[in-house]
Amino acid sequence: MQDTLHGDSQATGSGQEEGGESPAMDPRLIAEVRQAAAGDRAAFESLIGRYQGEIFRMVYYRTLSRMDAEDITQDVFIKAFRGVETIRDPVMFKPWLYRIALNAVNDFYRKKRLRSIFTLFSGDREEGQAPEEDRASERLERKEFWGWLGKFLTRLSAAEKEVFRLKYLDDLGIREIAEVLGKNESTVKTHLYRAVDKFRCEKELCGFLKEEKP
Amino acid sequence: MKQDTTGHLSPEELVSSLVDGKDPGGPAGLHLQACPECRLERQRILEDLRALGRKARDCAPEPARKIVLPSREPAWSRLQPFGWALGAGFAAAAAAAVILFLAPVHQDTVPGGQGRVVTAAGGMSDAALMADVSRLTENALPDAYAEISPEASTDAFDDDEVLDFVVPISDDDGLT
Ligand SMILES: [Zn+2]
Repeated sequence: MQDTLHGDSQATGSGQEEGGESPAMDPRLIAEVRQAAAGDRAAFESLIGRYQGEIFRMVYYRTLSRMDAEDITQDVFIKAFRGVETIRDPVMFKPWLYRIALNAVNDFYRKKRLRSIFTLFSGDREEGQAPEEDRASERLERKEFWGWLGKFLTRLSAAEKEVFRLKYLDDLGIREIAEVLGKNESTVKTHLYRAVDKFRCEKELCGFLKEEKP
Repeated sequence: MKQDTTGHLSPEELVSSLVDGKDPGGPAGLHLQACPECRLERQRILEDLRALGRKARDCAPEPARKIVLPSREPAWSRLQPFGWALGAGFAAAAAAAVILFLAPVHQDTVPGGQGRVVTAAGGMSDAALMADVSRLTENALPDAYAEISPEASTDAFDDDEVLDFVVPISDDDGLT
């Protein structure tokens, strides 16, 4: 998967919609992306301010490690900073950023697997297996939620899982997801349909979510 | 997809219209418009999905670290494909320089030898020493390993390529 996008989509946005259409992009954001692409550091820093939270959460949803999410988020923005000049269409900035983040998460897991191969031979315990500092104090409810969600996600194929997360956890629109994954919208919808169909049968997870509703 | 026996939309049709973000066409669409039960069921699934997103957000921490950007890089560091090879080249050159620098001054006193000084290289000639250094910098593996290792490639290996080879992406579904 490459980290450069040159698409010419006309609309993108918050992903609040349930289908493929997205609200128009904020003109100030368009200007910031253009300035950042032209080498304006302050404009890029402003983009960090806009997207750091959501990229961090996106990574956290996939690693469930605060420390790793911080490290990966840092890497994502450095990579984006180095490549932002390749952005031709400001609308593509967000999907492009998510694509970098998704690649970074995939790399993280591949490196982790590589490390685990070596620790297997050396007999050392893997570093990442130490309990996280915040895990001890994490509320039972959070653990329960990630547990239920993790259990549900194991029932999905890799593609269904990623499309589902991008849509309902990361709140991207169908078109944005298609750009992130480099697939067409109908492919994204097919995977999403299968994932949601499994989700609606997930009584325990849905029951847990209902308990949480105000 | 077919309507269920009660005349209501099947769960699959409801999910499909939810994913499409618009009402289905034809009789199914007309039914959905007229049937509060079906609309309620679709809304229930949608609410569960929205609750999932909210819950995930509530259960995630906020980032605490400030993103630190590098200063704009010098042009040579953008030679990505050659970065690894350049680094290895510098390391090898540095190692060779250290060996050459240390060899003459690494002294040892031969017992009973009246303080006679010998170099670490012993009686080795300069040419032999250089040949050894070259061999080491070109191939750090002992001969036994060199015999079983693939021939050194002249291509600069990108970190990702090495990783792709050692730990292939496990994605079992190519999103095709
Ligand atoms: Zn009905």
